[in-house]
Amino acid sequence: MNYIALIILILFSDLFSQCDNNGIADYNNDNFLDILDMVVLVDQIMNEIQNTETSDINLDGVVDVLDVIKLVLKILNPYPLSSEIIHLDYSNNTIFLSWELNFSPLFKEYQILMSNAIDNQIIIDVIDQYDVAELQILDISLYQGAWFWVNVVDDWDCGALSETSIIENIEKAYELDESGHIVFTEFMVDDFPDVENCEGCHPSHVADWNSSSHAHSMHSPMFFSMWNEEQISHPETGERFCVQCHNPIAFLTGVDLEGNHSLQDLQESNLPSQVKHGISCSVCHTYTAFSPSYFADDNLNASAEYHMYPGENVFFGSIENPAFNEYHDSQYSSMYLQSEMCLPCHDFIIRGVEAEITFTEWNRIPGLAMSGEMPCQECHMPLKPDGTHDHRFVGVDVDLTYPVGESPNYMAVEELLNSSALISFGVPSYSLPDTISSGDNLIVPITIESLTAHNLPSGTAFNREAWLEIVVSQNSNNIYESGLLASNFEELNRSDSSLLLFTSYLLDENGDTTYTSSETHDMINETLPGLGYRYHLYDINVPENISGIIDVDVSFKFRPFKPSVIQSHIPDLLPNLPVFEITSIHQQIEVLE
Amino acid sequence: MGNNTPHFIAIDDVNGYWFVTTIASGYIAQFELVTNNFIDKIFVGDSPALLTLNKNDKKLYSSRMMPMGNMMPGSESTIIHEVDYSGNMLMTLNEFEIPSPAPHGISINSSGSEIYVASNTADWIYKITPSSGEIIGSVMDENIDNSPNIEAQRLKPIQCLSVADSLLFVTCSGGQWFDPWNGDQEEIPGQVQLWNSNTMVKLDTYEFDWYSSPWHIIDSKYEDKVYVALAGDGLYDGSSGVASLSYQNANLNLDWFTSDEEFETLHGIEVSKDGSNIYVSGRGDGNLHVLDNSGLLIDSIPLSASGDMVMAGGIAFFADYNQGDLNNDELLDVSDIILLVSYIMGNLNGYNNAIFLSAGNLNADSNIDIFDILLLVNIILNVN
Repeated sequence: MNYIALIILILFSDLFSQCDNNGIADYNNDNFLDILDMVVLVDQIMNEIQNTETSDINLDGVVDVLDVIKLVLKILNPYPLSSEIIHLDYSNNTIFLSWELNFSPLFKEYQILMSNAIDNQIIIDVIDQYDVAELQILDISLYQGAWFWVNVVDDWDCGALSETSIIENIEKAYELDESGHIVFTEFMVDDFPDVENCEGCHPSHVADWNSSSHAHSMHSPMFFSMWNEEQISHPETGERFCVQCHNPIAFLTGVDLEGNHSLQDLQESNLPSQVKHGISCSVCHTYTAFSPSYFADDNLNASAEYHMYPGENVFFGSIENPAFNEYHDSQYSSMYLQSEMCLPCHDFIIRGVEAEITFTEWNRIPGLAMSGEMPCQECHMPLKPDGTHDHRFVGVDVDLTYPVGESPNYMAVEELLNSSALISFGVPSYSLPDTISSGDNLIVPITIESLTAHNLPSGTAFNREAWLEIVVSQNSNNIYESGLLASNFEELNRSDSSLLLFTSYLLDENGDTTYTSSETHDMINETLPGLGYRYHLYDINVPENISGIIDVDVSFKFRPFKPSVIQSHIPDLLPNLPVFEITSIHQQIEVLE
Repeated sequence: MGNNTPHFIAIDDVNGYWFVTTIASGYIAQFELVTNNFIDKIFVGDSPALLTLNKNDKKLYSSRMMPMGNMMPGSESTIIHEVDYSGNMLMTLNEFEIPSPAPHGISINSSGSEIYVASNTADWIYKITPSSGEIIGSVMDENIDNSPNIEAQRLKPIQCLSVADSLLFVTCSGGQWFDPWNGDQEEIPGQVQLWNSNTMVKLDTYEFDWYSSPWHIIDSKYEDKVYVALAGDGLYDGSSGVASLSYQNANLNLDWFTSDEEFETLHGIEVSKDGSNIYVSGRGDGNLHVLDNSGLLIDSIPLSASGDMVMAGGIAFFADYNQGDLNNDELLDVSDIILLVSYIMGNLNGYNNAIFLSAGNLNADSNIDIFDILLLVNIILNVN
């Protein structure tokens, strides 16, 4: 019977349970404030026991009936009432926050909490007056979206949290008209410090960048040629169409670049130097959120989305605890380690045709899309020995104004390509024989394994070519060849049915091949998928008069431009077109008489 | 990227542990569920990916990651590890080598007597009987009928799910397939295959669009339905979503499909204990999405204030232990009393103290003792 009474008492107590965590008046240490504690407190008062450490609930130095009243209030009001946020605003480095007044009988304080992720809530201010229900925080730099709450706390440190209020991601706004021109923008050219401003403290980064395609985006003669063509064929939209990616600063600020038909025009113009520098430091390092892929419709209007916050003297990057410096604020952002950072420019869809979709090619490999592993930065911005990321953004393009082998990043491009694929003799069910008889057909089976996390070639794959070159020879006399070129700018022999070529073809509205992405209405994709395989068989007749050892040499070749593309724009650059050897294999076979 | 790259979490809510695989470093780590205290780790090497648990015998089975390119540790191992966690340390009991590469999807039947594994690159599924070591395989793509060591990479199976000890669901990402022999491209529908796990014969297939990418799958628990997270494709609006497939009479039918403009690359999926809510992680949108079991989107909870940088991946649901519900089956009954008595008597070797300190200390004093048993008995008598 006693047990039952005890159980009932404890169960009843549970109804009055609170979040009391400071032990005040919890005399029986059962983590509940209830009638049992009340009995003890009353007993102390009746017996004039002044145990102020645990019983002076109202902190007036005396244990008396007022403490009993407060304990009763607590038992009747286990939790404080919450106060919802009424207004939240951030502008001019000031947060303004107001909330409902709170009339909880045991009110102690308002705690204002902030967080930008689910696991790092911090208290930014505490207000201990119930009738002060607003807060202004001056000189606060809020660089990304943030959550806010008001937590009403009572004397027992029990809290009642408000609903979440959010300051949306911090970014500057712009609006475009139907032809892709700026009609409104918060972006100013001076929001983007020029490269020279960065060079003093980041000389190696700037040196890297100077040799990059990003720096070259407004320098390349091929770009100017294609851009001029685009402006002629689409006068309304052509200038902005290319500028939206090749020159984000001009695009976002509305600086008109029309009339600059060459690098010389641009350099001699009165345009701000930031605009002359293409995709510079302050473009990427002011991103505050990811952009979506760029979809161009039939109007060809520029509509790329950028989410950036330049001009506030803060730069974002992948260093988790950036060192303090006197020149600008530095903020860590995990975005900078993710492939999505390369949007919107490296994922371009036109009229529904997946013309240049490097990001999507990566994102369509389930293991990579799921884990985020092998992001673009891993290969194109690898860590250098000094712990910084390579800012040469090495890809497959080289500066074609240099002779073959002399362009600044030639060696780096070659090195990257060397790691992009493997080839080997043999395919499932076929292997290369050690011997063969004269007059028989030699089957040379080749497996190509892509080690690349996107297609090969990718990006402007319609301009690029990767192919197998095979030469079967004896004493330097060729018995068989495919994919062999007399010069770097010779066209591949497309009538060779054994030629294995990876590329793509853009098709215009008539179904004819075009190298102009804005003319695209369809495409033929013959690229090698990321991390994919390709098997290929060469069927070679060994002449009757051959015997002894023959050599089989196979190499996987790449060039960043099809000669015809250069030919149609700047033929003078053709001699500078490089052909890279990705990898090669060799084997000898004995021919028996 | 870190040195470990945690990938997948599995929760043993009966015994009070959770486990995580680390792709980059090749470990499986064990933690206490209630306290998150680290218990032990074991090296299994070579990109461990998914886990499935035999909670009765305290054994776990780990699969391997699909190809990750040359920048990540290779996932060349074809070994499924059987690891014992009944003691205070993790210990490898067996290694089962299957004939196909990239054994990624993995599931277990209710008794733990059979493990099912799908090869992501060879499009084969396998049934492993741990007690005998027997391994039975079936090709998933009858159009190709490739041998088990040939990486067809057409269907790209992702996850397996064993239901009712006779049915095996396999999600297949599908997508654009490149014929390695001639370079032709084909669009393979993302799909869910239903197999008879006793006979290893395919019963039915439900095909989505080629750009749907069905990834993770979960049993609805109380109906003949499974829920699938479709990652979709960023270039196809509305392709990312959640699908409910019914499987009455071994026929797969679409019950509902829910998409939302906010959904981007949905990844993990879980169901609440009562089956009423479905939780889906948005890898691309950084939200935890909550749907009811009719497919209505109830809530999207951002996981950071700048949503899209979170990369929400796998998801595991853990219903906190209710007081007295020591086996976490949402019932207070004699089995809980037995557990409590056994614990007090010191007869529960390998059991997790934290569970009892959390759910067994009914009178909230400093001891777990006869008073807690009395309280539990009383609660059960009053409830029933």
